[in-house]
Amino acid sequence: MKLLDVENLAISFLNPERVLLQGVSFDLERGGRLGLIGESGSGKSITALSLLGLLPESMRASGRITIAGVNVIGSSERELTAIRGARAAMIFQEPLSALDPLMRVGRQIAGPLRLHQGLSGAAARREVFSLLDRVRLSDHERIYNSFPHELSGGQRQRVALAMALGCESELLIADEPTTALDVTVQAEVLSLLDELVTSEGMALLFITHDLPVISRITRRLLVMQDGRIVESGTTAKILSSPAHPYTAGLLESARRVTAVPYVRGAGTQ
Amino acid sequence: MSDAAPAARREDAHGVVRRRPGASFVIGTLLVSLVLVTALVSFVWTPYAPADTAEALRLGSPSPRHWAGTDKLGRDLFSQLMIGARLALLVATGSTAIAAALGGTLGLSAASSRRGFVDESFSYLFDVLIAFPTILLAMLIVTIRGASTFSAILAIGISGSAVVSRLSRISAIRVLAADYVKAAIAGGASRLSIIFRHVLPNIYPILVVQLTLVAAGAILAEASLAYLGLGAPPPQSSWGRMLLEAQESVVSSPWGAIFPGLAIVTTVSGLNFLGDGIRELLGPEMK
Repeated sequence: MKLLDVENLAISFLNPERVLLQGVSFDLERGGRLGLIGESGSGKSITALSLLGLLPESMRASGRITIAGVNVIGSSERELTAIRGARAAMIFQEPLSALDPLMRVGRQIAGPLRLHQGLSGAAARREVFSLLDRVRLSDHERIYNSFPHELSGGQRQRVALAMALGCESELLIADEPTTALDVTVQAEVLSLLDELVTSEGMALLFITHDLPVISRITRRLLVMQDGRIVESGTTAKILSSPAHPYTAGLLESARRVTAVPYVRGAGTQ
Repeated sequence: MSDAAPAARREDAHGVVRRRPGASFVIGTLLVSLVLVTALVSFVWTPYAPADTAEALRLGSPSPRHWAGTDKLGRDLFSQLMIGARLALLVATGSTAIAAALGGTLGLSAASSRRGFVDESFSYLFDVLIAFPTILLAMLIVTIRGASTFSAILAIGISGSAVVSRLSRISAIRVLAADYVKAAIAGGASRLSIIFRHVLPNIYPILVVQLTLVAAGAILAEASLAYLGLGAPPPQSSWGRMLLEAQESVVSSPWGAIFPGLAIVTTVSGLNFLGDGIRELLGPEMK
């Protein structure tokens, strides 16, 4: 049995009715990795949200999604709560808005620990420290007692990652986790994510619009355009010989951007 | 730091600018504390026993012996005012608590309900409640339950809950749409825990401002009810009933109406200033 199995997923707006996603099928085995790439508005994030039944009220999903054998579409809120966090965790694009501005970071990381590992008090605190260690945040006390706005972008995304790790789930859905970060921080967070997913034995669904990023992290790739999957295969093959004109265009634009020579100090004036 | 910013200005977790307490906050705090202290002192000391009648001094003007004069039975008005402060504050806190509990529960349930018709029917309920005059609702409840302090508190609390529920519904919807709520749901948090962990802490500043206004409205409403004879029955001293009792002699001896009126104005404006002051403290984004 696959860990994640999506069959003929379709998502539409209800009022007025408009199809956002159609005929999307893919699967992911335990410990596997899959990249989902496409431009803004292609339906990547909607796909991610639908996997955990997080679509807004104004949208409906049809088709079949199973996570570890449990059906997602059509399940009650209670059945969904049993999957969320326990089977699959998620990290979001903008770590500042994904953390409660009024709650200290330590308490936020401890939330899933209480839910999924039954930890509280000093035990939870110890586990939070160990999670902070795993995401390479060494200044435990300070980070634990900080509010999100007191941390840097990279630190916030590490905190979000620590929250996801605390769920001890089998699948991590990462929705553009590095897009909102500086390029240097991006590289650090990316290699951290890479390492942790391997050491924890998690499966990873990585969503991005950034080709260079995805080529570093997954070997299998889906290309999405206008709510459909237009191409799928190994990352290497898609990058070297794209079959679909849209993929070729995407590749071409990425090449053009990276081909612009870097001029020292050009951005500061 | 921009040149318009006073020295005490700093940003809190929301990025909301917090300032040094302004004039309204100080005035509001002073006035409300004055009433509070008066009410507390009345438990241990009043110039005269409130029911004590001094035959010689019916409808007396303010004097060194009777600071606020005496009423038609010769009772000391200042002592009655002091004891009336207890009732005013009891009604204010009691009905505000009911408004907060009832309104908060309804508003948050409406906001977090995933079924559209629950939200809609709750919203209709709030609209009807808001359209229903407090006094009319109070008369209804008093008719059913009989005139008592608790009836007044209940009636005022229920009608105050309409505004609170609407406000908490709207603010909660804004918080529930935030990414951190999505992240918490994705992590397996239940709806109830999201309300307590994320929604309430994020909306309480807005609610506190609203609740001070509800408290001010409650004091006015209680005075109106007492004036109509629907409030707490005697011997409970009430500013509203003092107004009622002073009515027949208001031309010959206006003091019996002026002082309770001043007490009501002081308390209500104190609470309004306090609400404004808290709003200013929370910065323009919270308005």
